[in-house]
Amino acid sequence: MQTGQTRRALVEAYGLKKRYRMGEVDVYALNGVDLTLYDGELVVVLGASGSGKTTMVNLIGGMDRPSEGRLRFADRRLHGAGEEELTRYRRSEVGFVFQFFNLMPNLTAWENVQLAAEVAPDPLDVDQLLEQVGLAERREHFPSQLSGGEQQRVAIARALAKNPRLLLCDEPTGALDLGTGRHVLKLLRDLRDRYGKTVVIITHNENISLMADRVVYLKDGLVEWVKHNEEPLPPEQVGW
Amino acid sequence: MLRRKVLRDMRQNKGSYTACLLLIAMGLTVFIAFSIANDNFTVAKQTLYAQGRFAEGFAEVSAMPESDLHRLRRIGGVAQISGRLVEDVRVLPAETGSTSVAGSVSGETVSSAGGTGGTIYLRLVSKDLEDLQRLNDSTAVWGDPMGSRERHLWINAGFAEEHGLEIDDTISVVAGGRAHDMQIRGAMLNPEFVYIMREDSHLFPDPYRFGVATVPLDTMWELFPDQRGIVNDIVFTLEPGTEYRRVEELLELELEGYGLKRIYPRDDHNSHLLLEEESEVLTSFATFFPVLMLGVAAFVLYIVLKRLVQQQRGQIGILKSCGYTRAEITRHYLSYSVILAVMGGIIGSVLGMLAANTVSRLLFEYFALPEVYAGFSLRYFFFGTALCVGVLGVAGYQGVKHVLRLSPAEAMLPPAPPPASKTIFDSAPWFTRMLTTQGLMGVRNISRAPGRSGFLLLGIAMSFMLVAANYSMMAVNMPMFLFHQLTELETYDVRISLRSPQPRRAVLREVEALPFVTRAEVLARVPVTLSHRLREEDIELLGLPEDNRLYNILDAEGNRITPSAEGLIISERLATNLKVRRGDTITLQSPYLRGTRGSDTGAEADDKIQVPIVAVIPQYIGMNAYLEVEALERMLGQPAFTSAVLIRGEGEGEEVAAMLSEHYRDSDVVTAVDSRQRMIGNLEEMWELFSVFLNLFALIGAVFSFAIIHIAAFVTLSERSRELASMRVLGMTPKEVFSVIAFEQWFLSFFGILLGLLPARYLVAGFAASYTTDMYTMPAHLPAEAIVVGFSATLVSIWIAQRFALRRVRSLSLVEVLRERE
Ligand SMILES: Nc1ncnc2c1ncn2[C@@H]1O[C@H](COP(=O)(O)OP(=O)(O)O)[C@@H](O)[C@H]1O
Ligand SMILES: [Mg+2]
Repeated sequence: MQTGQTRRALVEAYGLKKRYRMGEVDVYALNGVDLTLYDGELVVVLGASGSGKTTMVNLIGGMDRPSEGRLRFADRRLHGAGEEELTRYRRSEVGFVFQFFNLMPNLTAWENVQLAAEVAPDPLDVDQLLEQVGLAERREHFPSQLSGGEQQRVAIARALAKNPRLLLCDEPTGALDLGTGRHVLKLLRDLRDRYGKTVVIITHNENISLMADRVVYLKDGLVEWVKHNEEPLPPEQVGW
Repeated sequence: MLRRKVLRDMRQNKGSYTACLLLIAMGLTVFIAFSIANDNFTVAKQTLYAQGRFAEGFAEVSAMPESDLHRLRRIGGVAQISGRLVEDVRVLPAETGSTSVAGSVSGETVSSAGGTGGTIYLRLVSKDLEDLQRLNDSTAVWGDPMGSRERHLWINAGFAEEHGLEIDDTISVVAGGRAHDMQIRGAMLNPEFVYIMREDSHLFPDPYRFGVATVPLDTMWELFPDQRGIVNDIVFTLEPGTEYRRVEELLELELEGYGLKRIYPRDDHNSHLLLEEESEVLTSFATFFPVLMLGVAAFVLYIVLKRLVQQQRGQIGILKSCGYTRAEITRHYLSYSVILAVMGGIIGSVLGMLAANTVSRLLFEYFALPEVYAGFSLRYFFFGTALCVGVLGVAGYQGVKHVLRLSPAEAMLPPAPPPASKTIFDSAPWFTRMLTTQGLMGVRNISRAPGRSGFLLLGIAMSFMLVAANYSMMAVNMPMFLFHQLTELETYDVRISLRSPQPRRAVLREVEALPFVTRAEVLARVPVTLSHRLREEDIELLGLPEDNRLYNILDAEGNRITPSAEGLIISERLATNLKVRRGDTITLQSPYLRGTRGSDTGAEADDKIQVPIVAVIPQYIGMNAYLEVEALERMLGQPAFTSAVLIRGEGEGEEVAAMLSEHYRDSDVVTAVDSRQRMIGNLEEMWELFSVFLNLFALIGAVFSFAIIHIAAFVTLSERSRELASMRVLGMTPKEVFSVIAFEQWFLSFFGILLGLLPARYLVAGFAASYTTDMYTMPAHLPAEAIVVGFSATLVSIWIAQRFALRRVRSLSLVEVLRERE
């Protein structure tokens, strides 16, 4: 897409570490990650199970705090930020999409999206969003009345509702079949195109990385390599 | 949006929330109903007391010229004083056709507790029409003024209602040995007779057979010519700031010469005492019950919310990832509590206010009180609801706080499996080796979920305790309290009460000569003051013949004790109050003793006698001392006398009573002819009425404990549905799966019941203590039978709860449970 020189850095991480205590020993889920995410790019994070993908995305999304290292989002300092500040950050800047959709079972599709829109300072229109994810007629349905792909589309609409600058998707297709998964990926790319969001997609499926602007490969809590795709494939042509 | 989630969440779990709501609403209903009823009750009492200028002191004398009353007015500390002539009379069944009480006696079926039949008594109290400041004055319900010297009377409202009496009806009473027709001029309530009983030992009022009437003083003197110019009952109030004891001492000196029988403060006035007690019962009811209900509601909510947030861990993570603050999420989960509390508050308040009127009306009916309502107040609603919001809020917060503390990333993860380490049971290999695998799982679960196991344990302990204690009271202690006196101690057919002490031998000779009398015994009743060191009690000393057969003295084991000439046999309560034991010597004073002053026959110079105590016996109703009758006479220096005759006759007790009643129809001396059978009958009817209430409470207790067990089983199930489903997948039958839970429950039940044993004892003692006063001593036995009943009832509750649980295990959808992301 755009050329490297005009891009603005949105997320910058230096020496990012996350330590968990497992009984007697400390385990580093992240062991010094340096990474920059640029405005409007679509990044795929690849890596084997347990390589630290979720941990990294959680830190970037302000769901958790790094043990060491520096982390910035635009002009916000996320390392050392307090619970309240992180909450405010999540409220306005980040949208999450999870593998298992995680919709509120007791709220309808529309209400699930509205739930996020309600607390955001500058939300998008809920009906319009549902239309864009192709679920306008399903707005009154409860999650249990929707298929997996539909649920994930509601989840994406919900993540977008806050009008965040950053969309973090942790294995968004992990629980979906090929066709549905492709549909969701296409949706993510279209939304990125339309709204100019920065989209991060976590996956352990290498095929998916073909649609990315950039691919980040994690291994044992470290960035092993980063690759720039000159010609990202349209999601329709991504294999499984 | 979250609000909608709250409502839908609640609908999904409506069982638990409804249970909570019911508990809260019920608790609040009781709280508000009884608080308001108590307010009404208190205001009604105060109104009656104020309107009637209720006395603060009471004295009974044998006879005192009315003209001497003014001397008493001058005594320091006495504010007002009134003298009355008080006499009990019998009401005659009137001839047909006359507009008298008998018209209604025979014509109407009275549905009151007492039913018809038996002798009807009236207590006539003189009223000095000229004294406008007279104490213990009546408040009119309806009627016209009475005329001086007219055969007029005002009757207490309850009696009038029972007999359908109206203005200008007449009733016949026997006074001064003759029958008189008296005209009803009005119906009244009186501060002195709110709880109307002929004798203090009667346990319940019987408005059909006993009433109170005020009669103009000069009419009274005409009815009782030998009492002309005389009063025998003095009531007084105190100057503000005066101590009752000081006035009593002064009055005692003054009244000594008039044959002072008894002088006592308002606090010892039976009707007043019972009113105060009722107020206390209402208050304790308004607290105990709601606190219990609210406590359980809080606990249920705690468990439910705790489970809810555990289940919704992922949802909480989402909310956090969306940028909801902790405060917002906390508020969301607390809103469950608040909604319940406010809804319960509103429902409870409305029901409470409605019930308050019913409860008040029942009270006003049972007690002769004016229907005064304290006025509508939202105070209790606000207080009750605020309390519920507070308690449930705290309970809810306790339930949810630990999940809220998690960081959002953690909240998104499934909870870490509970640490599986060795439990205390594993340290006893001999024990675990005895168990099946299911048993072992059950046992380990107990120690891994101590909170839940504790809840069930407590629930079972409580269930057992409530049932066993209730059963003890209902089946053993209450009946023993009520009927022991009239079935074990008193065994005569008929008791004849005499207006004043009569020569013993003459009375006996006369009664024994009656053809239908097979045995007659005397009963001498003497008011005495017993004291030991600084403690003192005014009681009635009963003199019984040595070969007593109609009035027994029984020890704790039910063995007969012969009335002793050597010393007093006293009741346990009396012994406790005086702090004396068998073998101690106590001091006895009595107005009857004064007859011997100056003579040198045993009485000491200061009218006091030292007597040893030879035995202490249980006594449930009243507080008495007993002495052999001849020894009593010797001690008092009195000639042989008696206050009552106990009679066994040929044939049915009621018939004998009827014949005696007829025989002494016009007697000036006989004030009452009581059939023991009839008294037992009355008591049984009252008891039936009463036990409906008590059984209702017992039932609530049972339902309540069943609910606890049920909730505990339910929570266990839903918390472990995943584990149970996995076992089903392994190919175990629902029964086998269920046996894990069943084992756990039976195991806990055993300890729960053990745990409930001791508190059950205390609960019975507490129940008993709440009924016990100086007048009444409620026994506090917890018989083996009650333990068996409690045991069985608890086991049945558990068994039923388990049937429900088993049904849930059967309907457990394996696919759903296992797919469910935890
Ligand atoms: N809350 C936690 N406590 C302890 N260890 C954790 C926790 N979260 C993740 N880990 C560990 O950190 C490593 C990285 O996990 P994660 O980021 O979830 O990997 P991925 O998403 O790439 O599969 C794993 O080894 C995992 O066991
Ligand atoms: Mg992961």
